[in-house]
Amino acid sequence: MKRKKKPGYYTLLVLTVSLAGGAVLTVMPMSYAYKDCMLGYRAHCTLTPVSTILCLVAAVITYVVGQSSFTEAS
Amino acid sequence: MITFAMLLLVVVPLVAGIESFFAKKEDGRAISILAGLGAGALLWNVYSDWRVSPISSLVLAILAIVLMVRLFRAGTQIWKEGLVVTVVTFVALLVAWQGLLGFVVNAEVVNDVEVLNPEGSAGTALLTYHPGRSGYQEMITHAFSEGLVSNDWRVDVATASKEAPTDLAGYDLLVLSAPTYDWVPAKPIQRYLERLGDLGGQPTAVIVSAAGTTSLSLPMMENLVREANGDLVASYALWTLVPNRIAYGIDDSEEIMRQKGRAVPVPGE
Repeated sequence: MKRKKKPGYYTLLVLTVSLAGGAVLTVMPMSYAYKDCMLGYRAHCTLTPVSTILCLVAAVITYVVGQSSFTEAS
Repeated sequence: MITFAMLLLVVVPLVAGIESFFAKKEDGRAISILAGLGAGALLWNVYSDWRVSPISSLVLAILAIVLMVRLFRAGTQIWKEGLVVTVVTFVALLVAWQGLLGFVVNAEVVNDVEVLNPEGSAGTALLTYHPGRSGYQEMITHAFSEGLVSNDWRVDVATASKEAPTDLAGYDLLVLSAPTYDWVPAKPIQRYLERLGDLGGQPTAVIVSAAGTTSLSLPMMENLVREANGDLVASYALWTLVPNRIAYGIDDSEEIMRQKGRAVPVPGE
């Protein structure tokens, strides 16, 4: 069944996608990073994988909130 | 991570603002919250970035005004609520940002003075730095000191705090090293320079790092040294999210700084 989207849904969706994209970005290699990340290679973020997990958790939360509170049965 | 958060603080308010335009009139509260959040966050971006990117700040300011007009045209109640959300969002971001700057990244770090190569005979350098939060400034500062030591300099390394030496008698070189926060050199190094007062022609080198741009912080650091009557002998900018090879031919920040440290002329030569 298609659910009606309330105002604010797309804002949360963009936030979810941005956070998921940010999670991917953190694990991407970057040759000019100044030090190895915790996984032992030069990643975009030196705090990888902690930052990756944080981004993913935040993405899941915003997704769940968006689906539960910003949609309703049409 | 801060750069990513800053990016989100532009993208998300823009989407919220766009969404407020598509909300129906019966969703009055949603309009006030979405447009208010968008306008407040955009205005904070304008406040934060106008010094380095005035054109994009102008664009964001215009978009914030458009959102305010949207609120105004939606009715008196929505306008009032939206204005409150705008102000609360702006103030919350301002307080959070100033708190981060004042109590976290610009908090002075007190360390004992570390003496490297105490028997060094080429000259004596005082290297004062603010370590910042990432460890990058500490890394490049120590690499610079290694370069000096390899030419037999004695190097006193101190963090920019009230405990750092302020008597420059006996030092042939002063090195000031700081990360960039809020587009300017970290406050502890600025306060340290104030404590030093008149440098009396002291040969001084500056090292500034930033994630993406030092266009404001490096000239500011250079000017602070000149205004304090220092003899600016070298200034270097390094970046963590931009390839350093653009300026130095190689990306390895430590190696760049070692080379620069080795290149410092020995007094009397």
